[in-house]
Amino acid sequence: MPFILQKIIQKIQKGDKNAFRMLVEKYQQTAFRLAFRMLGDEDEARDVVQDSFIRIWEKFNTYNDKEKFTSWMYRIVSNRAIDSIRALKRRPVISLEKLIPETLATRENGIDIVLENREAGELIRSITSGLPEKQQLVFSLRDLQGLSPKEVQDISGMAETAIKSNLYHARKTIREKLTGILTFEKKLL
Amino acid sequence: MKCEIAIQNIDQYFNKELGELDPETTQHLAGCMDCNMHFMARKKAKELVTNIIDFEPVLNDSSGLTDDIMMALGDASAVTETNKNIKPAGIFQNVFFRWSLSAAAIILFALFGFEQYLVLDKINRLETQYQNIPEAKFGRQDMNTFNSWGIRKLRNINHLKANNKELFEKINSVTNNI
Repeated sequence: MPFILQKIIQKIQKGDKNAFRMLVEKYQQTAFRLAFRMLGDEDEARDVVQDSFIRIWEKFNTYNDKEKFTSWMYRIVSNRAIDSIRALKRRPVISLEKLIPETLATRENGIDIVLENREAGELIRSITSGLPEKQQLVFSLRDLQGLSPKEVQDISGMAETAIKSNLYHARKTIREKLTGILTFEKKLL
Repeated sequence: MKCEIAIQNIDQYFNKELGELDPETTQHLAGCMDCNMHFMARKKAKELVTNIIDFEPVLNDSSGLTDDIMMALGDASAVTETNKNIKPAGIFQNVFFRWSLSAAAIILFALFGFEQYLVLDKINRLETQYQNIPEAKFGRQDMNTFNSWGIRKLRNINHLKANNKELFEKINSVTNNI
């Protein structure tokens, strides 16, 4: 653990709110990225980050400094994001059939796709909708957030084989979903 | 080449199970519209997923979020290092010992509770019997002594026994029956 982070954590454990503010400033962006990649919604992701940091403050006594701080933080954020996904299950998702032609049209006109939060969020929600919770979590952590298999294991608490299997099925479902739609699009042209 | 084999090769290629497409498949793709469409669809799907993976979500107004978090903390107090270190000492940290202690306490409570019940019940029944004994055969003085000292602590018990033989026999028979 970096020395400065260690110092900050020691101060937080003594109840220093200024030290906690420094920690929030340093890690809120990282936490937000994971929350956004799981939820595909900026406002929801902000709420999840806020709740997660409050929880981190309240539960700092359970933090074991032998564990990587980001892994512990990711675990709290992902648990909170899963709660939010459950609560938002009935939210309408824009179909991929509608989203993809708009996104690809930009690329075909020779303009690089510069996705913004809203567009990227809609795409994430569309491709991950219908995935079981575990598959969605593993796909978000491993493929979207780019974490190592060991980190995914630490955060999710799942065994290596379970992670591999969930990731395989998530990727397969997403690939088949996208390929099916894109083949259909091509046939229409 | 059959379309099924070409599709299988395309899928293996995009799944990174094949390093590159073999010339036979490439040749098939040039002449087969359906397989070509499948290839293009897989290519686009890969690009799209890559775009999503490469996308870095931007946290707008990060200082506002920090303020919101700090404000929401309010009076929520963190469990500090000092509190964290308060632990039960020595043997009391042992879970088995703590469970055994709880079990022993419950057993003792049950045993003594039951014994107390038996004693109280016996006293109640004794008092009931005692109230049925006619006062006439029991002198006023003796009665007072009996009341203030109780049966077992009666000092002039021998005097009473001598004067009220019949009565004591009756008391004995009653207490033996209880």
